[in-house]
Amino acid sequence: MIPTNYHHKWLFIFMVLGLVLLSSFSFGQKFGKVPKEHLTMTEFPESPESDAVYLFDVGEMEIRDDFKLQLDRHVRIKILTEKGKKFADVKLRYWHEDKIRNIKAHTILPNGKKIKLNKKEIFDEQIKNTKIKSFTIPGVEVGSVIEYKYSLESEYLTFLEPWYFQHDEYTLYSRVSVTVPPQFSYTIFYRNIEALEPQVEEILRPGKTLRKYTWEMANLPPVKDEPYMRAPQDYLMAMHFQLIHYKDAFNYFKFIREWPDLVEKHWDGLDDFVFDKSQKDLVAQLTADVVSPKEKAKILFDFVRDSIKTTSKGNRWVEKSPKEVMKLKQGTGTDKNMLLVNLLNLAGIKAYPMLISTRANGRVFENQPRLNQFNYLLAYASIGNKDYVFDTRNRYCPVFLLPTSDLVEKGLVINEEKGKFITIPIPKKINMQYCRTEATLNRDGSLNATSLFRFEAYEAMKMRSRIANTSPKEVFEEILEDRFGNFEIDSITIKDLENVEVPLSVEISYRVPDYAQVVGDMMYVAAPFMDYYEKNPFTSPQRYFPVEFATNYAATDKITINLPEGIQPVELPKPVAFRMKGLSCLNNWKQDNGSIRVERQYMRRKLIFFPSEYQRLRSLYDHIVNADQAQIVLSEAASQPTTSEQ
Amino acid sequence: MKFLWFVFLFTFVLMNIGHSQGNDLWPEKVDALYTLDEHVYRVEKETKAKYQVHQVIIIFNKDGNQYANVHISEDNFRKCKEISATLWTLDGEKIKEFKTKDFDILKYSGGGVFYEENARQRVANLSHNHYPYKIEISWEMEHNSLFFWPHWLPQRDIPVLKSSYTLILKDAHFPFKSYPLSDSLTASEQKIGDGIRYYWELKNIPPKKTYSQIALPPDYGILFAPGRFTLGKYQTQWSDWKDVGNWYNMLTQGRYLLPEEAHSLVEELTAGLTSEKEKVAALYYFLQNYTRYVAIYLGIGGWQPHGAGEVFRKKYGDCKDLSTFMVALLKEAGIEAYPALTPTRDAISLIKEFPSNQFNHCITMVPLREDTLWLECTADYLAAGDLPPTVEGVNVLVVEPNNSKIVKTPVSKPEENCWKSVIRGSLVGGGRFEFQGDIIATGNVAWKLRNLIIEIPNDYRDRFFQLLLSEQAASSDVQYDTENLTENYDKPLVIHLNGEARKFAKVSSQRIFLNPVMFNAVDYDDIPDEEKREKPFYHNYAFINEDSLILKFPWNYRLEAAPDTVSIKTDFGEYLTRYSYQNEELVFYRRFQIKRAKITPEEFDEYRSFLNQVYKADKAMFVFKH
Repeated sequence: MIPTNYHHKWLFIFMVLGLVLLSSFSFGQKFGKVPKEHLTMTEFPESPESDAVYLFDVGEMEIRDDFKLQLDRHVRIKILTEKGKKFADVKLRYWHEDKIRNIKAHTILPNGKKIKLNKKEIFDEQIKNTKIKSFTIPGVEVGSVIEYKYSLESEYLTFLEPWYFQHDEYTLYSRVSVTVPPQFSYTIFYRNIEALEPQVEEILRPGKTLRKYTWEMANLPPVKDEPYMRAPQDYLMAMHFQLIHYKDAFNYFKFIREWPDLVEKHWDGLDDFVFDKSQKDLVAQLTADVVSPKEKAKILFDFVRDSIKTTSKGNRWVEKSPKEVMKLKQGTGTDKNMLLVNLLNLAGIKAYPMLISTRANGRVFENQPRLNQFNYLLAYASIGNKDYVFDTRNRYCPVFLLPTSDLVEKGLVINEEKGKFITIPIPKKINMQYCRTEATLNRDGSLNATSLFRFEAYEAMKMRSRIANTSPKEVFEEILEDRFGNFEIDSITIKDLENVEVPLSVEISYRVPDYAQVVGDMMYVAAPFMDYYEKNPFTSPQRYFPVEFATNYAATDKITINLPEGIQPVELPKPVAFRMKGLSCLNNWKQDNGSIRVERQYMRRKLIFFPSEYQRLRSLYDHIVNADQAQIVLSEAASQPTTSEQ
Repeated sequence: MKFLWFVFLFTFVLMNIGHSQGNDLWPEKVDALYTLDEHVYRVEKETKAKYQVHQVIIIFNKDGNQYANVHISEDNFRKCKEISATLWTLDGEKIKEFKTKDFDILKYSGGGVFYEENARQRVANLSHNHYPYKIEISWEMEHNSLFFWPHWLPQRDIPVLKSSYTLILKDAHFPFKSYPLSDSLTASEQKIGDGIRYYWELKNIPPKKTYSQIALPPDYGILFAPGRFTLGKYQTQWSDWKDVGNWYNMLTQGRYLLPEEAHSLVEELTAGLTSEKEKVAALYYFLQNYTRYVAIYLGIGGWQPHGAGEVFRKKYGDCKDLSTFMVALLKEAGIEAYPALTPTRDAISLIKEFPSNQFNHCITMVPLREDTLWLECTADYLAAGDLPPTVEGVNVLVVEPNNSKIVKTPVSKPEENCWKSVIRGSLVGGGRFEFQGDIIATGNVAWKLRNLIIEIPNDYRDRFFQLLLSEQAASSDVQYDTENLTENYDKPLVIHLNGEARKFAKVSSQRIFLNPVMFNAVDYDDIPDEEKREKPFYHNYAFINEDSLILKFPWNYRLEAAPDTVSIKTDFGEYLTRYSYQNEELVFYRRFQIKRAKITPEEFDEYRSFLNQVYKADKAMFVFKH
């Protein structure tokens, strides 16, 4: 009915226009209704390198009347290149107790034709507690749009499904809505998002009013893996939801709100383990002649590390009590660390379990009290007002180091006093490889050498683990083959292989045929550095995320090359020094009568290099590679050597 | 159940004898070994059999943990009834027990013979962190088709101290055939009522050696096949290869039909083309772009392809789906074509004397009047008639109606697989080399490069050349464009490149040190390990690499030292370098040819020596003095 009155006529026109606009918006995201411009587009100027673009990724979560969570998800992707066709291979991973239903998918060709996914083309897979619905959307071709939707149902309400706005390809639009009955109160944690205000609307249902919160983001660049990068999920823009409380006319249930709540709940399960007295006599026996708490800690650490077999790393949950672990003489890394906490307390040292999120698991956000951020448990002790953290799972890890996977910024101590975050002490020891080489160069260009290695801290841990898995000969054959190609080992001697508290020493005697290039009466040779870069590890011209190392690192090479009689250096490389903040490399060549002495010192103290420092870092490594390969020029009875620029 | 009790007692005795021997069980150091490997196959009737396996493995170190991974395949024809496993220390202490419920079920899409057959695997990782340790595992399967009659292949890549195969036929006259892989295997026989029991046993079986690029039959074992079998609704017998081919034809009956839309498409694609060869090329190119290869997971070896109409709709399929689709397209164009079943070169070579299920792949054969074209339908970027290395020189079963036969696929010649580069440029300050040039590639070399360029992630495209350049040129920034990259696969691939190698030369105040080998340098890793070779060594394919570098030096540098020019000629390969330096311009030429893919055991030492010489020559430097 069209109004005749002028004023009402315009009101009517605006209403119609508004309805048209709203319907356009919903038309744009209705399943199977793809705007023409998306169907016909052949490239995406905002990201010309993309193989595909997420046109949208929309999720609607609702807590239903039966107190189950339902997530309805709808994804639409434009395929731009042949490589982009892989997005038609979909795997939906979910917890084995949840359910996925109502999967629909199709390809829409640029001419509008649709090719639908048949139900029998959806397959079920399962690995341990993860189920997977997998399917390949049929009919995909370059230029087509694929879309799929499904519903996930879950009984777990404490943590709703996290929402990741970004993907590994460009995302044009991403939206998540959460509809909750008023009885439920959730807190929201933002990751890598500064501020995002939701739209809030009230949804009227029979007998009740619900609130719907919607967050949306648009034009999001991709997040892709880069070398020397920590967990990619650390960088994705995301939201997490945690239940605070449930409250209705008759009930009030409080869930986790702050860290002290979480710690208190966790402590309830662990305090018996911490203060168990069953190993009292053992501890007394082990620490009988020892007074210093630090010394006691070392003895108990060594005992747990060496006497109890590590079955696996474990997670944040203690599977077996200290008593059981002692009985079975085995346990996960978590179980063993819990045992150490117990033994330390029995020795009069205040110790507690500490939860961490290992490096590969992603960073912990302290402003987001969520237990599921953590994936492992260490032993924490306070000795003489200093914090100590221990991990007994690795046989070759000395007492005051941690395996590199544990080297994260902070851990959460679980104790009876509501807990606290502790900064994990950075190991003071420099992670070092030292090598002294005495070499003799022969007239035929072959090199006979003896290299004495000393590995300290993490280098020692790494080398001991490597040797334990094979043999010293195999390990060093691999090292020398990587370095020299063709060689022969004459002998290997190893010292302190099992004594993890001291550096590991290895002496190798070897021969490298054709080491130097001999041309007439000239010889050209590079120094046989053992810490050596044959090419720059940073190949990409650009970097979007920080370069991160787990530990500092230092390497020293001291080399003496004894020359054949009558052969003199004609030209020596000039000493060089390359530096940037937190990293340096110095090389020096010097003649000393009938030999040449070369010294190289590489030192990296800094653990993180930001993208703004990347070009400098890359350029520095170019210079280091160049200096490592610098040539010494030798000749028969030449004049005084000259030094040369690099 | 009785069987399991017997096994338990036997194992108990065996473990207590062996528990303290540890790594003394084998003269060489190994990561793991089998102390026991028992197989029992009971044939009740054509549609019912039981298969029992019992194994004991000792794992000595972390590298041996791979043998602690268990995968037991199941589908609607083969059901796993019971699995049990126990971990022990070598002192006899029990570490952990596993029951059937402890094995995860890995379901996967596709697989099985008929796709809908609910293919899955029972999987578990039984590894322990403290070495050495022992795993004892047993499982029982029920087969309702003898199609899956297991072979006895006791030789693995770790030693096996004792392996046995017991075959029990309820009806002693039930037809079956066997093919021993070595002469020394004879069975003991024992009559059991109307039935019969055969027993084979081997002890101290050395690990099978792996050889590059090709698999050869193991030295020990027996292949089995039923005289007749029923699979689903299909009943057949395989007395010769014709029977095997006919069976495949039975499975594919009615599956070459195309929808109307596809008929018009074929007409459109071949319009104006006069020769059959051109039509084949056009339809093959269409298939490569239109479809995607979606592999069957885990290679259980499904036999029945999806229909051509379904592949047309879905635009994807596995090797036999795509071959079926290809044959249908060609038939529509009036060209005869057949599927060809094959084992790929990395699987066991076809044993022609034993007609049976030995295939893991399917290609297409097109017998034209003057030529035979072979089509690998899962490979993009390949010209019609070219085959990738995995199916060159292999025996295939060409499935023709009532006339299936074994045919050997062709092997490409070195002149068909060429790389030729010509790079020109100048050395500027700091050892930088600014250059431009061309690379022309044909055959398998071009295919490899096309795959590399097209498949590399876009973000890594600028680093594509990192994968090709020698060490001294690795710090490079290269731009390039191409001809015949995504079409005209029968023509050479041409790459026009220009760039800068930042540290190509090492420069001192007086000298320039330069290794001019920019591409294709032989690395020390390329030289196979020294060993007493019993089986041939294989390259992927024969090839020729030719590289020319023309490099302009800064003013007034003389050549101080140059490596000797090299010329090596053998029956299997050639290597040549030559150079000139005039007017501050170095012209360097390198040619490296492998004449044939196969190197005989007798040639192996000479081959290693040849590669050593090439490696040394490729490392050599020129030195120029100011």
